[in-house]
Amino acid sequence: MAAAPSPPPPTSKLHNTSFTLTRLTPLYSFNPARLPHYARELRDIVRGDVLRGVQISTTASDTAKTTLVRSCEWTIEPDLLPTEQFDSVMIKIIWEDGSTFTAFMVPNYTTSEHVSLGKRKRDGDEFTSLPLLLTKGPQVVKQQLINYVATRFDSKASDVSLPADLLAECLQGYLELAFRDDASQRVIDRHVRILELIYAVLEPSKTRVKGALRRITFSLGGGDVQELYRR
Amino acid sequence: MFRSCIDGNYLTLIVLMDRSPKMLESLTKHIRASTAISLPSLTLTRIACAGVLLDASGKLKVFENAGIDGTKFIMSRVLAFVGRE
Repeated sequence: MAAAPSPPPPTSKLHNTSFTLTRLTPLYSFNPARLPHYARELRDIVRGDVLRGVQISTTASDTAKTTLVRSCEWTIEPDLLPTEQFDSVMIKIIWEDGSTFTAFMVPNYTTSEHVSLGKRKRDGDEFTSLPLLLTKGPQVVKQQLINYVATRFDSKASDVSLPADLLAECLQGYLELAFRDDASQRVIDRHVRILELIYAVLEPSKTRVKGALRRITFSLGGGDVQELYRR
Repeated sequence: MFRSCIDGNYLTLIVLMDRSPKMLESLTKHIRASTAISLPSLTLTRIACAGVLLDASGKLKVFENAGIDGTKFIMSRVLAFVGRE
């Protein structure tokens, strides 16, 4: 009897999508039971409709999206990272032309403080910590979402700049996983293939002459990366 | 390797531009400014491979190739950073 095929590896909704990172301070009075209400409010803002007698957007032309919004949904996403037990909030907007805007508000699941959004929160716990906002889609809609979250939940949003030491730490840890002793060459090729590192050249501080060289890109083949790693 | 490459370009430029001293002087300044590089003056701003792309400007892309372990690792580091700031 032929062996049963191995199940496909688990995937995540984060995969293969380029996200912009934004930091959010804890949301005040965020209620998971009111997600449909939040979705309606955001949809009205994105559509440029009037909300409670107030014109939300000044003109239709100040937004990048002129087609009709087909749907706007806020949902609890319990399976953003398979095998990790935490709830995220997924925000998805779809336009009539088929284009989409996707965002995730993600709790810091690396600490034990995060709450399960589906469960009733403790009395007096007015703040919900969802510090990482991932967005993919038109910049203007991202800004509308940020403005909405900032005003609706009294939160402050800020851009995330990833320092060089964090990038180096991520690279090191990622390569440790890729080059585990039991990893086959095929697996290593799949994980790394080509490694590209981009370095920015800092402006020399003691000269008035501006350097013409802005950045240096190193491209290393997977085999070379493995050899360097093993040394 | 990088420095020798730059030095090579520098020499080429000197050969090419020796009929225009002013321009050569200007170029020399640029190149000297550019090649006064030591490793601490380089800042890593992007890592990209078949599994992950991370950019200092706050862009993140995790490919399926990273596998779920790689994805979890990258997300945990980014979340820990965002959470402690």
